[in-house]
Amino acid sequence: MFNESSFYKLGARARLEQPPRVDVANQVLARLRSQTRIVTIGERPLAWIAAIAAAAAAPIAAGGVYCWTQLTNPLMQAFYAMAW
Amino acid sequence: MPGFRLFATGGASAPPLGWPAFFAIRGKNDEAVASDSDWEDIKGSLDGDGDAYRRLVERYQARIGRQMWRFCRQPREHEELVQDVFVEAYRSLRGYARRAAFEHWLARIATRVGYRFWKSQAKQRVNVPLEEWDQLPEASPSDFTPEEAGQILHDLLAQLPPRDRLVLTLRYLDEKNVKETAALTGWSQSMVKVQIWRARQKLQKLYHHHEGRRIDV
Repeated sequence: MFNESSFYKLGARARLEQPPRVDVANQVLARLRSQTRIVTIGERPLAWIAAIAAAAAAPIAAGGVYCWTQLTNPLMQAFYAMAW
Repeated sequence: MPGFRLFATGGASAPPLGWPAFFAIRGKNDEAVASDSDWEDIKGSLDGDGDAYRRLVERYQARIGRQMWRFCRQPREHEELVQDVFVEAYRSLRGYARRAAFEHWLARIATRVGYRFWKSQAKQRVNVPLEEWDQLPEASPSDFTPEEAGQILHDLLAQLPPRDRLVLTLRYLDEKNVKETAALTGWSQSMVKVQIWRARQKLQKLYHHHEGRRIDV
């Protein structure tokens, strides 16, 4: 018959167990350091590349806007020709 | 002793040390808050002082090691799990608001890490070794060594889905009540009660499934 109290007794017995000792301080700090280094190396060059790309794109964008405003409808050109 | 810099960050966002003593002793949920030494090290860690975080790890690694032994009994994986807990704790350290003892906060993270480990294992598992019920010797639990008892419980509960396994592990092995289980898992108390009830049903079903093989836990 299923007897849940046996599980509690097993649990009480298991609580006396001594788990293996761990000393993870060095590994934890090494992992944190390596992850931090990746962030440091990864972010700065990206920021520079983004800044240079933005600077290069700015005159192109300005030229594009200027050209867009100068564009005229070909149909309007035809109307103008017919009117004269 | 100069510590290395982990992060060049600002200070902690939790209450300052100069708060009145009653705030320092009891938090919102009437649990003990972080001790002053913990709090100093937490603040140091947030300021990028690696030595401060090392002290926290060394202070709690035995406690977390014991807790993670419930989740994994393979020494190498167990050690990795303990590491995972402290790495995740460091990443979440800014969110520690000193409302509960640091140890309890860490235990919640450990529970989350362990539960995630079980879920990843459950996905990989192809066939559940139900025969492990038969490994139970015909003896009372007190006849087992603590290691045997721990292994047997671990193996039996491993046959349940991770959620059921978690609530029963916390109940049988850690003697946690519903409120404590809810705090550790982040589930509501009513959800914990339902989960325990379902887990017991499943365990009972598993038992009856193998009853013919003479299993007297």
